Amino acid sequence: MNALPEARGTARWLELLRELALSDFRLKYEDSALGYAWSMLSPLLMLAIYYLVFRHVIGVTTPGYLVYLVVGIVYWTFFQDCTFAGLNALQGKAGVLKSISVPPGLVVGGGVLSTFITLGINSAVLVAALLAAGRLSPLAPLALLPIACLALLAAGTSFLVALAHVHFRDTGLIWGILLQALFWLTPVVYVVDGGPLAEVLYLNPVARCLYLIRWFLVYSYLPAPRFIVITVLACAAAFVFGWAVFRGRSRLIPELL
Amino acid sequence: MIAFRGVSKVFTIPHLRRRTVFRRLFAAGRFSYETFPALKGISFEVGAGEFVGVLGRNGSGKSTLLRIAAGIYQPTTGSVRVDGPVAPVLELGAGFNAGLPVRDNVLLYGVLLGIPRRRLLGELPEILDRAGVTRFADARLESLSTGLRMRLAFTVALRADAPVSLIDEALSVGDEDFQRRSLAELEALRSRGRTALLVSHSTELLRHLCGRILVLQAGEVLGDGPPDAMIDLYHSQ
Repeated sequence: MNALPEARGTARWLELLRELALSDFRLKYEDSALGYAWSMLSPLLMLAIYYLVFRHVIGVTTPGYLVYLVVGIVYWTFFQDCTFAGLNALQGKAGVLKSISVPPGLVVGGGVLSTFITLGINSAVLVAALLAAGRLSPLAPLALLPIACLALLAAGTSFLVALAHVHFRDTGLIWGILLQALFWLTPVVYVVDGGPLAEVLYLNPVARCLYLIRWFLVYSYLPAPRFIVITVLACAAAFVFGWAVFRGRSRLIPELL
Repeated sequence: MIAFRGVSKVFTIPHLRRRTVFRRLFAAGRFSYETFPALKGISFEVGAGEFVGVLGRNGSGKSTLLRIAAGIYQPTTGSVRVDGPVAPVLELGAGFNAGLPVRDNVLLYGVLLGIPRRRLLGELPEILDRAGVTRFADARLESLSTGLRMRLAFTVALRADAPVSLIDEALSVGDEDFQRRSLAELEALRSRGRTALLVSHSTELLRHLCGRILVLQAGEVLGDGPPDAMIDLYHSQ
């Protein structure tokens, strides 16, 4: 009906996606290295607390536990931030969606992409730190694959929670609780290395990504191809499902906001 | 350029209390909502190069009509045809982010309105100058007064190079000098053969700019004709 999207083509939408992502990113970090360092305070504090509790109170004896924990927290924090960015994107841009003909998917996509930028920076810092500490595995480049999988999974989830948030205003609260549950179903702070418990954790795609990231980045362990293939397929399917469900219902979003 | 054929829009308004999962769980089966017909079978056409005004009291359906023309809302029944890209200016400065610098806001808002970023970068000095905010280019938008923000938004919005403009109450912002200049810009758009649908409460503005006026009353077209007659009709409601 409306010629706007078709007439100006994908170039316009890509430009818009980029502008939305960059503006979210700038807003978060004020465009400065200091802003970025400041934003690291919360994960660093989380790291310090978990390290103290698990190392000294619970008494985890795994060698290199600090490195294990750092990797876990960096990628868990991404998953959490990404889904919350998606969740809040539509409400935050309600004025835009109600007055300019912009696909709601792009608005969610912009919020999600801005957390991808942070993911990239955090990964670079992490790799540099591992390299400096002599803990970087020669398999490290392979970690790009599970990181991309985690990004797809987080994006797909973001579309679903974003849509849910349009219909139910308490989605943020519920998602916070579900994330807490998912956090403990993912080996972020505790160590499960093989055994029946690991088999259960492998049912969780976030856990699968995190296992692969740690294996490639730190432990130089190459799992059976089947494990990798299933992880890639599960994450890709989550993305396609999230996007398809969102897209099918996105036309009515401006009226519901 | 724009054709509405029997367009209706019914809003389904769920009772506010149901809009949480919590309420749904504990109110299962007692799902209730209100319906509100904002437009009731509206038909009209706007030809190429025409400036058509829309008059009507609050709640008569003017904004819904513009949003449907812009493709933001979907009509419940009826069909809508709009030829060519539209530049909707329904809420000035929607998309502005108070925490970002003025310069970044011009780019963000412009790109949202469909103006290519490259062109915006080239025209940035002129846009800032026309809006009278050159000195504040690197300041955060929140340091500008509301009036200046609206001026900036209007200046950017006028750059959107679309054959069809949909404008909602845009001219009520700014001081007299700015209003005069904005009016001149709209006249320039008209002389360049652009098509526009203008919503305003200012009958003087519509009389000046539009060749035809549509009067809406409670979601229906009360009248469609020459400005003077329609303004009288609007006043006699």
